[in-house]
Amino acid sequence: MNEFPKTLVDALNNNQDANKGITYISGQDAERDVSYPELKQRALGLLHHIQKKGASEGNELIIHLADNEQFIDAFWACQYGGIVAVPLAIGTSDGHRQKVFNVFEKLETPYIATSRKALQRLKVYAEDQGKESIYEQIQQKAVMLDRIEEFDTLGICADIKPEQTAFIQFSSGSTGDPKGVVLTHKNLMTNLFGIIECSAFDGNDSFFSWMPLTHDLGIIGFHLTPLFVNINQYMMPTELFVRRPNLWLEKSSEKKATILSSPNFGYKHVLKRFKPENQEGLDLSNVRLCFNGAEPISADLCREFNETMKPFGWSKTAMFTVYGLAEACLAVSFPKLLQPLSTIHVLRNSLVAGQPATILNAAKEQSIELVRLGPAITGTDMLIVDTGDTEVAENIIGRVLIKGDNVTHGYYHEPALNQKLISADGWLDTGDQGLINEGELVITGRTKDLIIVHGQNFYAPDLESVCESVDGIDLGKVIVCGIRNPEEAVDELVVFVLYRGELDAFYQTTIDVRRELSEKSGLDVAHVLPIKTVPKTTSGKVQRFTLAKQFEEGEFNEIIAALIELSETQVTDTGAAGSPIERILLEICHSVVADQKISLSDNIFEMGTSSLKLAQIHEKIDEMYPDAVELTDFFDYPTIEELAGFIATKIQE
Amino acid sequence: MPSFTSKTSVQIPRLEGEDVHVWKLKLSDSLDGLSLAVLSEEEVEKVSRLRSSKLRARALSMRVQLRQLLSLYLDLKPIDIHFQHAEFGKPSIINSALSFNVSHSADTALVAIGLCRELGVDIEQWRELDNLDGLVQRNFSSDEKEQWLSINDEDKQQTFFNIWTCKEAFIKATGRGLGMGVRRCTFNLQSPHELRQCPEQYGEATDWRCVPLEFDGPLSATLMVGANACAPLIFEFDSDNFPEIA
Repeated sequence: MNEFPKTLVDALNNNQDANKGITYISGQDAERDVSYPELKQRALGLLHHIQKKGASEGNELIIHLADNEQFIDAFWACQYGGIVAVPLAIGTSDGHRQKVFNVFEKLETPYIATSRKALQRLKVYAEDQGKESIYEQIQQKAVMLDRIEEFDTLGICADIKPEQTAFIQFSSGSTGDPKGVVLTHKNLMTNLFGIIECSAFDGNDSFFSWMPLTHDLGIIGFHLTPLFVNINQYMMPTELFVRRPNLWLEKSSEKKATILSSPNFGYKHVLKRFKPENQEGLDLSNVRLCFNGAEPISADLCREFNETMKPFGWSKTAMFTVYGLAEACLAVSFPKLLQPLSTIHVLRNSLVAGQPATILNAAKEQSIELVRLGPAITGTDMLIVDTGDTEVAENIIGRVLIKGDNVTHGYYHEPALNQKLISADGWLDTGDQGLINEGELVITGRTKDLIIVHGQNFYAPDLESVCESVDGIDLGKVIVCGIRNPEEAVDELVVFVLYRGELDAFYQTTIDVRRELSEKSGLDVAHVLPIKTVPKTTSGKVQRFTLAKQFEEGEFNEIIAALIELSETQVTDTGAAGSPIERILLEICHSVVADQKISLSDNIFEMGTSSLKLAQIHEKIDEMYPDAVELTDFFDYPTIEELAGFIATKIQE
Repeated sequence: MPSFTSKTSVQIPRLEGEDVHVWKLKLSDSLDGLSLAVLSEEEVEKVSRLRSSKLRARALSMRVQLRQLLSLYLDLKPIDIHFQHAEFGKPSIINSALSFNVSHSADTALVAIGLCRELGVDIEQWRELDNLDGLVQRNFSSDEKEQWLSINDEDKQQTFFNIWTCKEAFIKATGRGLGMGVRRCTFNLQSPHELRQCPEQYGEATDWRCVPLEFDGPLSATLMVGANACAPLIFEFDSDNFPEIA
């Protein structure tokens, strides 16, 4: 490799081959190529408009755009102008819009790159929440990318220094105070160098991604990395993957892509829809690596995916189980190349901090299987320490710390938090718990209040404050945990509420909590359970781990069964979600008709729902269950119960 | 002599023949000053299902104003008006030839009043829809989908809402509702949005008048009437200053 770039702009400046670039895929037959030299021109052209709006070096630009191409253009306009890029997801829930307002207020001199549509949504949200005055400011600082057609006048480039901030990655906080990980060019250079070296990327590779660009795996892993190697990259919108997961593999096959990625849930999503008999031409033999990170990894799911894709040339050494976090830019540890899935079996009850894990030769009833995630990559140091911050021996469980030029100097404007998480000699506490086994990292759990659902991070206290707005739930009387469901191989949200009364009366609370979290954060809750006390440490900190453990050990099974029974008897008058299809339909109805209580047995028409809303509900149902339902079927099956039954029979056909 | 400053009531002409009056109502976000006593128990119960107090207030405000408005035409007390619902749910007034149709979106409602049974109105505030092309794909006729291809991106939202209000006003006018299948009627996507085609049982497309209702702001509104001609009169309703029928 030639001398490695010192800044992001160095890298794009180096890429002068007009045959290399990005292909934006927007559908089965819709795509658009933008070469790297063109990208630079577009970025400079856009920079002119951003600077015309008043933004200058050191200011921030929130990137709030659904379109990948517009997002990338804005990102690079920022880099050339020395403007700090702040990507924020468009999303569908109020939580996403709230975050835009919170971040905008938090930044020093913010501007925003967005679209008319997205701005309109922000406006509606502002009117709803009485935030019109902040909206006014946002509107004044908005650069509307869908209005810009002229890219010929170039903006003025800043002289970028490696120590300068390139962008800030904000956590997925749904309420309260969003935390922004500040990343400099030097941080990024260090991590990109390590990523490229430890994956041995070269001119023969090409990348294909559906990850959102607001996620580090999307923007750094699957946009910056191939750009640094000066090779082709393909991206499709996340929303398209969610709707048509098979298109990911079909397009990768068509493009002969060698490098893919997906968090754990994505494999499951694909397998649900994948029909080998319909995939005659699929060829996955070019895939050299498929990054699997961003959330806890299920070994069973990896094997199932490997097995299903094997007939299509999928290599058993492709699945690349990695570890990383936004605070490290992206990556911390990678396994060695060309090795099949590597795991250990550990006795469940030996997973205690400060103690050695009992490692077994084979799976047992009381054991769990954990995936090996490799050693630290070039440029990053990693340590497992005990409560006294002393390094522990192999196989002893402790906190995972990282250090290196890739690691953030801290969260944006959070001095107290930074002091807590980063030691004087530069070690950052990842909040994860793990051990080193045969030189490879194994993550055993999380210590900080982070919940990962579908690869997105949520802070438990944020979700708890959402629950606190439910009638009958007091401050500090609710605990939200992300708990692994071993059967489904995903983390599920379980909400514990302090409640000492009869279970019958608790039932309404379970419905209210589900609805609140679904509306505010777009999250689906697996269980809402009553607890008699809130477990706390002597210093008064809530012990989420204790509850999660009790749950995993089955202590709540009886209550769950009782609540399910209640839901079956009360379904007619209060309408809790029953079957999975019913739950999905209920969620869809609530997402469109946000202003009404809907139960399974409600006649959709009697709710006074407008036809357009019904058409929107229909459209969303069609995304989930293509061609299963006609709008006019609503008349024959006018309740969610009936419609769910109808869909179930259609799916079986 | 100084004149009194009190407002004089708006004078409304009497309805005759194919006349249609369209009233624009402003829906209040609070219950202050609302005469809830004029509503039926059933109406209040239905509204109570709405989750936010703002939406409950708007819904109640709409119903109260509707009754006040109809009472002018019927010469009845608001509380004495009784509604019935036809087979597919279209509401009408018991024992009266007066026909009406209501539509609301956000804080605005429209009430169309006439003597012709085939009367439908719809209003939609423009707002972002997740998947406009998907909605078109599933709810527009093939002729309309063909026309859709030639609509510029920046005009899509407006065109969609214009056509949607046409379709909605039409299915409401026929009384058949959504069960008809909105795909079975075809409109001109370009203005004027005339009805090109409709299911046989609702007569010829030429039997229908499609009238765009112009209001300020980002919204579409359409009146559909089964009549030879239609030039509706548009009024704003002010419950503090009741209009009078001439």
